[in-house]
Amino acid sequence: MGMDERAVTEAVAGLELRGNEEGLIPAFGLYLTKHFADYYNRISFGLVGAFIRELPELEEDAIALLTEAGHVCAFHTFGGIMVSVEWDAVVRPMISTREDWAKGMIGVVNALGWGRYRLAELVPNERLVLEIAHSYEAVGMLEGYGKAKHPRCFLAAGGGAGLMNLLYQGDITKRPALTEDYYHEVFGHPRSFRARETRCLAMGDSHCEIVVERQRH
Amino acid sequence: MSKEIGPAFDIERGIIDLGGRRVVLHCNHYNVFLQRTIEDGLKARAPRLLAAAGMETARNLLGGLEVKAPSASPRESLERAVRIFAEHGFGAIDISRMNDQGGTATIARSHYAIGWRSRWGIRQTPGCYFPAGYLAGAVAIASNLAPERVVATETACYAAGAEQCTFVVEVW
Repeated sequence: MGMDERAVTEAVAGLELRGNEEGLIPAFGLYLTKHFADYYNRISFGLVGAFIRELPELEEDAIALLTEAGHVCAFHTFGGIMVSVEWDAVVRPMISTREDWAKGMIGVVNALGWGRYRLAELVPNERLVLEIAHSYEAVGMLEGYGKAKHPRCFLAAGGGAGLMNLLYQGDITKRPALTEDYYHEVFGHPRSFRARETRCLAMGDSHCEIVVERQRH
Repeated sequence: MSKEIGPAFDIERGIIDLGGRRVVLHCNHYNVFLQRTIEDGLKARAPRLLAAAGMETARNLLGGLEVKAPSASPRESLERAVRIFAEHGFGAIDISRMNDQGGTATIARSHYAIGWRSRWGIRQTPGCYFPAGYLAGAVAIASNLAPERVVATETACYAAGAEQCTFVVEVW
């Protein structure tokens, strides 16, 4: 049985994810929010904008911090999902290779409202290329701030690197405990994966493209 | 009662739309980590950005919904805002001591507060900036007020050791 990404997307989109009597959404061992892209974009681009205006030499540091937030997101959200009973029920029956884990996760991501992700290339343990249409970060940049000179999909980049780190630097298939120690072990490794955005809708490209490779030291 | 508008998922584009605004799913870890990133980066100016972003987000969302499906009264508009807030996982807001001109609101289990406290423990200052901004935006839309006339202040926060989160919303 091959991985049917669309079936995964449909299954996740069909989950009844809405606040309980406390107004919280416990799922996948996490508390989820159906948040608003406007908010993320305002605060993220607000931070970068402040650095560009006042400490332009530190712009890359601001971007690194926002990308790190994407790593944290991938570790907990993707990781939490991949060790969940929901994953076991819906996705795991379609998995026959480690690469299927990545494909299954892309199917999940496509139900999160982040845009339409496509796994354009996956070289096991080496390289991942994601193509993204309608990235909420790029769309938000264009809508609120105009065309960008540089890529602006910080969450998507951090998420892409995080997916590869969970699969090939750590080993999410063995259901590790997603602790802070494990995070630092996996993401702090000098050969862990990092992402760069090589195309961005916000810069006028037709779509966004994230390339993930191991760090070279 | 106004017509209910719920999120619509477009599988071909990977977009969830609510009243013309994008909805994106994220977890507590990302939400509080991103907030901390903003606070560490902008220091004393962070609260203003975070709350203003919450207010603008609420105004865009709720204002759009009012155009598509007008509420019958300011109270009904406020109740819709509270209902959306809870359905989207941010916590249940008690607005029994609020009207469309402000008042006091509480959240027993705020997503941001419990997320912060479970990750980093008790913080020194209240930390529910998004809920505060959202509340201010909700009142501004419900009462058709210019945003600068509404201020929401979190006076007690679970993340800072209080039993629950309390917000004072003032209109001037």
